[in-house]
Amino acid sequence: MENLPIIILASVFVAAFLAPALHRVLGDRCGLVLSLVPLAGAWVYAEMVPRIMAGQPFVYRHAWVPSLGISLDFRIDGLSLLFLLLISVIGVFVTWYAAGYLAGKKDLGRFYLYLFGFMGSMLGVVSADHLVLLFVFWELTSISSYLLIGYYHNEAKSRAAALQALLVTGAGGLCLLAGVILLGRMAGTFLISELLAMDAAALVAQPGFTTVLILILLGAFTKSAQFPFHFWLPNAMTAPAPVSAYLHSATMVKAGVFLLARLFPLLSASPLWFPIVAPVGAVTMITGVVMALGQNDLKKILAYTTVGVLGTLTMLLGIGTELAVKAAMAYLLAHAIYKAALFMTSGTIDHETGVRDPDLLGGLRRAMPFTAAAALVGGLSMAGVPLLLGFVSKEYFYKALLDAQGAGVLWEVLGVGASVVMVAAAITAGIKPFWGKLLPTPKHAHEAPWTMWLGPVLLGVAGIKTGLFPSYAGAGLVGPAAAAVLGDGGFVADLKLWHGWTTALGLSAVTVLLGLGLYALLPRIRAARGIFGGLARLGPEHGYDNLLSGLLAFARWQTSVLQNGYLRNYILTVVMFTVVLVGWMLPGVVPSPDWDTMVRPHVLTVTVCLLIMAGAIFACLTSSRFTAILALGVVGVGIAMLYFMFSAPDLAMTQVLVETLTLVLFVLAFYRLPVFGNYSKKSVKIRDAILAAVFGTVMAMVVLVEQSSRAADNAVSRFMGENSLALANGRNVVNVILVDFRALDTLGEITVLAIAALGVFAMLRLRPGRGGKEDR
Amino acid sequence: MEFLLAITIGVLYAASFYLLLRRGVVRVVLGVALLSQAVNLLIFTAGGLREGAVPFIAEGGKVLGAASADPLPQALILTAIVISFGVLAFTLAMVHRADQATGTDDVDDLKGTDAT
Repeated sequence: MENLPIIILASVFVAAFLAPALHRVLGDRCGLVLSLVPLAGAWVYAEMVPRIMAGQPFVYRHAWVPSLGISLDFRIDGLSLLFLLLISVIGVFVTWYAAGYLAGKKDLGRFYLYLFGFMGSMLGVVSADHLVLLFVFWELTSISSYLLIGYYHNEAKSRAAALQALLVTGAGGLCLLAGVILLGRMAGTFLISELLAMDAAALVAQPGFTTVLILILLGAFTKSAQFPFHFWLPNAMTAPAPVSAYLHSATMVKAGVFLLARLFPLLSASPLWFPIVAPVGAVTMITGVVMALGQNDLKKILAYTTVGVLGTLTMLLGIGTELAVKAAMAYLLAHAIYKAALFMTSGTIDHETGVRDPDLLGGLRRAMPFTAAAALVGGLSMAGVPLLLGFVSKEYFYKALLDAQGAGVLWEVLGVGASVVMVAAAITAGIKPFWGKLLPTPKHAHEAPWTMWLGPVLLGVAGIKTGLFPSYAGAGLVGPAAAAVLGDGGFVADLKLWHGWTTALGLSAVTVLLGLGLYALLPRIRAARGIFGGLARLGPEHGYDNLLSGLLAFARWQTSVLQNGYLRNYILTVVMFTVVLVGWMLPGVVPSPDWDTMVRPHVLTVTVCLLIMAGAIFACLTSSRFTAILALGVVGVGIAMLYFMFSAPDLAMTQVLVETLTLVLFVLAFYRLPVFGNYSKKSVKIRDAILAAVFGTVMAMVVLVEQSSRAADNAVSRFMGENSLALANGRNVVNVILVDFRALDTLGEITVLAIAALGVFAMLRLRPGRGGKEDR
Repeated sequence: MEFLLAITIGVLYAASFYLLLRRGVVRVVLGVALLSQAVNLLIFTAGGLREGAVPFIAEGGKVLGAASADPLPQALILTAIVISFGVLAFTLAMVHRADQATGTDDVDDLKGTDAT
């Protein structure tokens, strides 16, 4: 079974669509059955670790839209594998967790549909080897994120947050699409593996590469909630806890970081990479942790620290040294493990006590021992306490900052500052609610079902195990991932617990101490919450709100102007728009009349033309219905004469017949028609007359252009002329076209007439009150 | 001649547009009728003017002579004439019914969806 990873990917989507039906049959237990799919995925991916370590990526290719050069190309290397394992393993835990958290909810099946749809899309993002394929999965994650944030769709806040996330990440997605297409065109290939194997320096030197870089960065930054697009992530916390744990901390928000890492060998060759990416990451990191300080909601604290971590990862990739990349991968792994656990435990607290304010929580460890243990391990790992993976990754983080290019000390100060806040936040979220004095809560607290604590506990075990023996995780996951990012097959990374008495170790100790101090100050900082609220209002979210309401106001304004309900204004708009567009093109193409090639005017034809014009103008001016109808008849008969004089006897005959019928029709309807009312003001009439004159002038010029640019020979006409007698035995070619070559069209025409006749009959003969429904 | 026809077509378009912009519904109907005449004449002129060259295959001939008028625009216009007659008849009936039902011929009074 060579293609197992692809089969897993497909079966996740199948599971998604089966979920609603499964929920109807099995009820709340359907989550346990569904979790078998990511469990199998985790198994398959874990089995791949040795071959990836040996430097043999998994490759799968299948033509999809060959005409567009789009194929289902998948490639799994170290970077992909790290993500695949995170997505599948945490996916299993989240699936269990949701079974408990959303137990008894009627639309749990729908929830699993979205969740597994997301899971499949995310697996697709990280294993795609084709830029377009990656983009498709990328957008699918945005859409499933939208659906999941808006899961509580009867709450306006949820809907607004969902829309905000979709608009921000969707706009970034459009930028990414443009960047990806430009990049593919520039490089001549859409295959990521081929792109990365190319000479990056040559590609970067091409004109327009800066545009590509900025577009792709916009896509990554919006997805990974980088400043100034970070605001959607804390708002997305209106989603249920399993969603926050899975999408908005462990996996989806890291898609942007993944993209940066995926294209690292190429993009980092640009001289703009470091000056853009590293500062954006640093600003995001600081914004996230500063805002986290002011929150009094467990989920918001965790969300803002997630923003901080995403900034950290971006900053590390921006710095881009070997050590920084390795640190980023280790940090990413550690964060996914502890943050998913902490989101789930704080969701459990919310679920079991109904409180999310850390100040009102305390002493829950006796009531919920397993959750407390998992939260403790997660919190300690987040704080970077030794013997946990969080500690190891932070050591590498500090080391990477120390040897960063440029002002290493500045980076270091920022990094330590952010980590200090992380310590305080970790204590608040992971330790404070469970220890100390038991505080009363609205709901009587007790331990959650096993589905809700087993996942966090296992994540805690993973955090301890990888923390104690980091070399396994280092050689099996982080090393191959870093090697894939750096595009250097020979690079082997190892993670070590003990580095000796280094500066980084000293900084770690200082960080924990300062963090404890900051934690002690937290109540006072939160007391000044107004300042943070003010900061948030001044921030880019304000810009988003203004943009959105401005757009809506503009839409309302232009609708009221254009869609004003007056049909003649619609006609006016359409025609004048056409006049402007066509008039724009006309100068330069209108030929000066070539009198020699034109048919010579004749007294008769000139007279007829003058009559037609007089009739048309008269029809506009007269205030008598009768005169108007007669003027219309003059126009019709005049045109019939023109047809006759210019070799179209069939047209002339038809026209005369139809004119006669029209006249009869008008005369029949004469006494039933309303008299001409005089509704318009004189100024309106003059305006309309001027506009009509402009329109007429443009149309006259169009006729001249068309006249002069007519092709001398027309294949269709020639075919009709040559085959009329041979195939259809008719000498009158016009007739043959109508009744033979295009007989079906003529049948359609007859049908139209029949329908019109039925309509006329219905309108004239069927009266309300005579069997029909009364309408007045 | 083509130049004169271009002006004629321009006048027809202008007149029909002016009538379409009126509020009286009967004038709008007249505008619709004039518009189809203008379109037909435009297609006809664009197809090329020929005098004394009807698109018939001459007795004894097998194919249409090269000097004949183009039969294709003529076939198109023939269809268009008949269809526009159908449209006109339908419109007239509709205007008549609308006048009966609403008692107004001012297009601006017909904006709403409910009978007043």
